[in-house]
Amino acid sequence: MSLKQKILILVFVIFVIAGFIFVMKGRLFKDYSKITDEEIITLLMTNKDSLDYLEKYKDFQIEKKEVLSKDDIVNGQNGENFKEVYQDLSLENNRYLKIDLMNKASNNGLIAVLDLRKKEVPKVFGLILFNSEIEVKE
Amino acid sequence: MSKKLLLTGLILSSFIILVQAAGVDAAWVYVGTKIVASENPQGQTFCLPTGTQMSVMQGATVLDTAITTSQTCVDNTIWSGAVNLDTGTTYGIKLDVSTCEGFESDGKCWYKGNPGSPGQSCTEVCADKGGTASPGCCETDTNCTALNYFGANCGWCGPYCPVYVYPYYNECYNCEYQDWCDCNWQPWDPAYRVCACSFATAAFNYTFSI
Repeated sequence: MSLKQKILILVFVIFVIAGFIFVMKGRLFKDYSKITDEEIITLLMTNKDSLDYLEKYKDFQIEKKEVLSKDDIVNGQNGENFKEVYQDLSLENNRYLKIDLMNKASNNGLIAVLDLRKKEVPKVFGLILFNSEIEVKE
Repeated sequence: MSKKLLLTGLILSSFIILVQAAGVDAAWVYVGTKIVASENPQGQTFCLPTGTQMSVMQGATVLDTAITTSQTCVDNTIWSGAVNLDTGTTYGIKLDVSTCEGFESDGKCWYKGNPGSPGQSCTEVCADKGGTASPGCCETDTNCTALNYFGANCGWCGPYCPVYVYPYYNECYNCEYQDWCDCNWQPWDPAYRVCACSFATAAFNYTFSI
């Protein structure tokens, strides 16, 4: 093998390694928090339950978006409310986006967890909210 | 033979269609009750105490019960756990509310006499809080838990009605001797009586379907 061939192979190998590092870095450190509302809605439409909600409550609003960290998932699993939202999620930083939707009348909502890596919606829960006026009499 | 097969196929297909038509959509749902106003028997706004229960019901069957671990004030929401509900079915919410804002122990609502007003009877202590003294005023405070909660720091947890003497003695008198049970009995100054008070409770019901 000539020196020229060796140099060409070396350059090729360097390019392959650099490309691999570039792809992995993009995958590992992608900033999922920059996902747009349109992308969120598109993803929600791939799940039957969330699609039903979007079609039924067309006046919904995205009330909250939260990229979950490992700590968020652990705290959620041990929290007082909404434990089921966090169950069975992999303990990974920045993989999941939790979103809260609510209709204009503030009585029907949705909590969904989006898996931004797999582009799936693994968790969907409905929210039904009552306003209660408590008057206690003797 | 082929006719039999065709007939069997038709029957099976009809059965599958019927089963699908009879099926209902179900969804996992959290049900919440947001407190927008709360008024006690005295017409004052109050926070629902720790231990308030909210149940999601299907008829008489309880699907889930949430018990609060802190006070629920106006604009706070009590959430159920996730419940699997069917479309088109009617469900109910039952909210059991007590107006106790004192210290809850042994299933009772405890209050100490007003600071600066030692010597109050349980009739007076409970009336000040909008409640009534528990009948008989002979409620046992296990291990002087309520007495200690109200700052008694009991060195000795003895018999008699729940009373502590402060600052002259570090003594607590628990209720074991029924002779001392008297709602109108006033302890000696500077003693405070710690009383189990009863309050109005109310159940609120709502129905809904998804």
